[in-house]
Amino acid sequence: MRHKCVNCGKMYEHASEEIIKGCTCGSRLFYFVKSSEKKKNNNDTDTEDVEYFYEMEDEDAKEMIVFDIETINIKSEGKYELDIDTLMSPDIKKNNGLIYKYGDGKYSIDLDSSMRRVKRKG
Amino acid sequence: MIKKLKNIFAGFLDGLFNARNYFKLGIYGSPNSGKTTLANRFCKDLLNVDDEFTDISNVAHETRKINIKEKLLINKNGKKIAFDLIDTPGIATRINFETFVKTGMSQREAKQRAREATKGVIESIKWLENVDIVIIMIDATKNPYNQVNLTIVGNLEARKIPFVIVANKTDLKRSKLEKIQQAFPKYRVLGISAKFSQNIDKLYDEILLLKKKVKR
Repeated sequence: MRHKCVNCGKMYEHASEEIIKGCTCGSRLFYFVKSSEKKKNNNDTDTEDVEYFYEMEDEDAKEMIVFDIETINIKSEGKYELDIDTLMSPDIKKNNGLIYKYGDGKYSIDLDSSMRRVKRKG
Repeated sequence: MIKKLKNIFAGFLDGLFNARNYFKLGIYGSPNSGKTTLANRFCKDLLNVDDEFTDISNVAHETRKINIKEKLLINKNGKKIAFDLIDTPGIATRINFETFVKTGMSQREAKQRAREATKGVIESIKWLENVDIVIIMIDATKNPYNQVNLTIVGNLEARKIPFVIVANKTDLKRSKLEKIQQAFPKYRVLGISAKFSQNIDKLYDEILLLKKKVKR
């Protein structure tokens, strides 16, 4: 069992001191990661961890959505997945603005939103 | 004399709505948690208007754009505060047009709604830069342990935006206020029914308290 900081995503083992005192980033809210399993990809050669949220009853959310660099995954017309954790983060290192994924290897970057993040930092 | 009185009244209003006393209150949460119902309630109570602020429905993502009502006034126990109310689109991690098709919409309408709902989520998140206090609406009939609730709470804390967690729909028998309180033991959780105006007075008291934490 592990815990993941809601703000910065840092992982902590069960019964870590930080769970009581708070994460090093200052947040005191953690996701409870119930278990991890290995999931095989199509090639059956490599595996990736799939983590499950504790007590996720929403049938669409039994499995955590894994994002790469994209913040919005357009799976097909009318079906969207949003990385709200990254989109909401005030941390400029984590939040690079709107990056859309349209399929394998296809991305679109909203330069305006990305550049506003940089401007704010300056 | 009348002119003098008018000037005094205008000065009073200006004082009330100046930067020090004025703030922006945002209502955030998952779709269908009752945000717009609460916003409508605020308008009826504080502006004494019968017109609905915006439409509500049982279909998720009814609110897909930011709606703002300006210059609402809470006047309680000798304290007066003025604020802009910002009703936001529901925040979700997955938006699927098929959910709307099940409610009877055509595929075309459903896909358009899904597109607008996704844009709405982005707008809601952008508006976090502009709000001073947040009401996090949680449906008390549902499991509070979801990514949206946890992410909103965590990010507001990181941004140091004062907030109150409101467990809505406590008029329903299947609501579990204690479950919401157990999910967020370190935060203030208030049970209300926005639809039937239950406990809304306590929410106004809470907003008055949160106003003191706003840094300007």
